[in-house]
Amino acid sequence: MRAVFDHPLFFKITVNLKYELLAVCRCYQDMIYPILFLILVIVLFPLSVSPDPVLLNKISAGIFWIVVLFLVLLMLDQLFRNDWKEGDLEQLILTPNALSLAIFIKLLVFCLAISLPLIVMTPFLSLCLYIPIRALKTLCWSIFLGTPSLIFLGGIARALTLGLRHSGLLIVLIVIPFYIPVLIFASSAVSFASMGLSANGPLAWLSVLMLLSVSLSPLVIRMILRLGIAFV
Amino acid sequence: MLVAQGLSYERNKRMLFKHLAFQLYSGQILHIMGANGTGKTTLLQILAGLLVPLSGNVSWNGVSIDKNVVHFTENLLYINHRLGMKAALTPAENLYLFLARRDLIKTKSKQKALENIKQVLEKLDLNLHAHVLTAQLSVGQQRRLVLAKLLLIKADCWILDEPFTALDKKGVALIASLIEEQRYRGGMVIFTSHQSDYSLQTEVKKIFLDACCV
Repeated sequence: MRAVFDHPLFFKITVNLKYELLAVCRCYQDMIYPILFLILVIVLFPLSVSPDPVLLNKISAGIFWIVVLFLVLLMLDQLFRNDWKEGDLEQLILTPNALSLAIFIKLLVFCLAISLPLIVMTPFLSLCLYIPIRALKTLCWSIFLGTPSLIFLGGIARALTLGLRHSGLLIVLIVIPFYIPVLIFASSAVSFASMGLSANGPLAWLSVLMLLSVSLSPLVIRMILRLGIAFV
Repeated sequence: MLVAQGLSYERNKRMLFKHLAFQLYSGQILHIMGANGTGKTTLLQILAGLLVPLSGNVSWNGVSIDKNVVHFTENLLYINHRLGMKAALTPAENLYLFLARRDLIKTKSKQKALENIKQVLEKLDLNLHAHVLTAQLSVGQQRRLVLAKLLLIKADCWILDEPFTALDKKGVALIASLIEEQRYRGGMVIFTSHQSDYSLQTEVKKIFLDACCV
């Protein structure tokens, strides 16, 4: 075990992780508004549509996941933005052997910053939408497994559009087709669970999508950044 | 040895430069001059490997830089008008992260690295600000902080984009002395600047970029 902690790679990962987390925590204001938006939408929805439990029970899983997807789309604009503005990304590109690891850690920290508050808020939010208690565990799992794929895929679109001045619309256009499978599997998992069925199938698919995107997209982003599209 | 062959680049349908070629040996200094918008920064980005030129290539010690990225970037320090660090971290944290990313901190010698960073910050008169957020430093102090990289590690090739901006007289003298030192060590320096009073003792190669006709 000691050998693992003394390994240079382990050290590199911990240092990177620590400072990325610090940087995100010190800029928490940027992160708070989208999450506030999500909470507001979910709290206001039953107020404006109807607080009828039977109706809400049918549509709540879909609504929850659509709002999560909006949240991620809103947050994607923040991804890499400070690093790009401050020139940290250029320096990373020019650092030997560090790029894909650093990208992975950046995306991971970004995931944590989104999904941790979400998972903490989920019990309260699911109360508003009448998602049954028995589906709560599945809902948390679907957030835990679903948001990483959303963010890692979104990272590719963000890297492609870094150099553009108004990249928001383009990111949405690029990324939405890839988000649809995640949305379908995640919301069907939650609605299965709230009907009392087993949600293992959709959750397994969600984790497949997550593993694929988490493992492959840092490599793709590295290639995009090295191509130099961002600097034109 | 850095060799550029037949570099050309086009922006907004305007040729910035065409068939640009030069060779730079260790111990040589290259000053790229030209008015605003003539492509100095673009040329430096191409030389650093951030941008891919329309034609031509750049090679380092005989190997093209896009074929052997690690080999080149290990020896490269690139500094431009951006901070190149995280504004949300303090100078000391930033430099520590910089060293860690380059695998220059051994697990057993963290203390030594911290000492080293402290010394460098003292040399740059930033030791009082070592634990203030970088975003809160003044522009001149941030420019000074960027120079810390030049002091911290030894790299054979420095590419500096407008290193003299926003620096006081002492800072300009410091860069001039750093460039001289780098020369004696056998490294090379490529930089752009509008100033000509940086008073380098040694001879400097120069390239003038002109507003090129179509």
